[in-house]
Amino acid sequence: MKKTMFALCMLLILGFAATASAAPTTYAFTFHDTAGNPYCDGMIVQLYGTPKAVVGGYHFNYDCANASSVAGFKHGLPAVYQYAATGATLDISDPAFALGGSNRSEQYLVNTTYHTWILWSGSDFATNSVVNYGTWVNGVKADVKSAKPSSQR
Amino acid sequence: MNVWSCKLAGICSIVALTICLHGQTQQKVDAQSGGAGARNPFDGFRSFSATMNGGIGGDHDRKIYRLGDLMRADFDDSYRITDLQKLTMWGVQRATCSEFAMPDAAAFPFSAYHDHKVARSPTAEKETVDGHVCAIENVTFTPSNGMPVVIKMKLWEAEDLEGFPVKIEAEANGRKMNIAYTDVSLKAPDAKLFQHPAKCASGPQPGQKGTIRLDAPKTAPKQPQKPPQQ
Repeated sequence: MKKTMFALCMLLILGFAATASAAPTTYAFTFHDTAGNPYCDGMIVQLYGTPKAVVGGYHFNYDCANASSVAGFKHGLPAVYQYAATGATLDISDPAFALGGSNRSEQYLVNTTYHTWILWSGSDFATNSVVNYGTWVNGVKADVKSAKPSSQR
Repeated sequence: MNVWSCKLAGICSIVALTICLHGQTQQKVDAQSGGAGARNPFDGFRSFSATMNGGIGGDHDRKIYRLGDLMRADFDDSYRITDLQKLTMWGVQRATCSEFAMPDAAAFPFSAYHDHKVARSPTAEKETVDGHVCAIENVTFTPSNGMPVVIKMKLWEAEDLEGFPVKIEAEANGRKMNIAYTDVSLKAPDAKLFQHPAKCASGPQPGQKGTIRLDAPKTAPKQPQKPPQQ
């Protein structure tokens, strides 16, 4: 009887633990360049799902004025595709520029362990190029309207 | 599994490996030759410097240099060097250096379409662009792997710059992209411009442990490494 009760308790605890670990994580951050100077934009995204690997949210001030809806997944990537980082990254697709009429596909890789980011663009109908990269800081900075967005080099 | 089955499996493995290796070799040959068509118009300009506007990165007055297979793009406090054959890139900052497995956006179109078939159609038209009398040529890049999208380019080739394309209009599936090059010099840039630290590596940098404290005051490196200037 004791053993059965113990097993039931363990199942309940594990069940609660599993539920708790699936709670969404919110990231709100502002992009900086490699020297630590702020850009005018950043993202507020949630990491959620079971398993917790889905990303959804928005890219605020993508052009220093407007916001765009962004989404993607968290997955591992080799260091050569990231800036000063390795391992799991938030792989976030941003359609802002495509919607704006220019011929670009935008892909941010945001590493939450090393606080770095890199922006990839597929614009030539064949390959990918590095557009920009840098670091990021927690929080949404309001006083950055004079800076340029992270997509401008 | 009897002896004959083992032998058969071994023979099949060798045949499969041979086919696979042949395919890879053929891809490399095609990539180097630009396919069965004409020569890629950008392959002829292996030494130059220019100021670039537009392109994939939406660059504004970006100073670029090419020497052989290397292309450099200058930034405010850093520079990036792309290897046009290996399609890799080094980003050199004041205190750090990072290696990436893809080219920088400013290297386009010199970095692109190596494995495409090229068709060139010179026209009789002439236009003056930024003071240069230019011949106009239409070029198409067709993927050799069967992908359906054909990239069309219109090049304004400056007669006084050995045909260097000072203006490019690229178009695929109705989407357009423009690039303009000014202050073009065909003089070979200083080889020092293409140097990068020997220990340039990908991934977390030396001293970078876990999350970086970016809110901490910025500290200048003891001996700031300035990008070499021409």
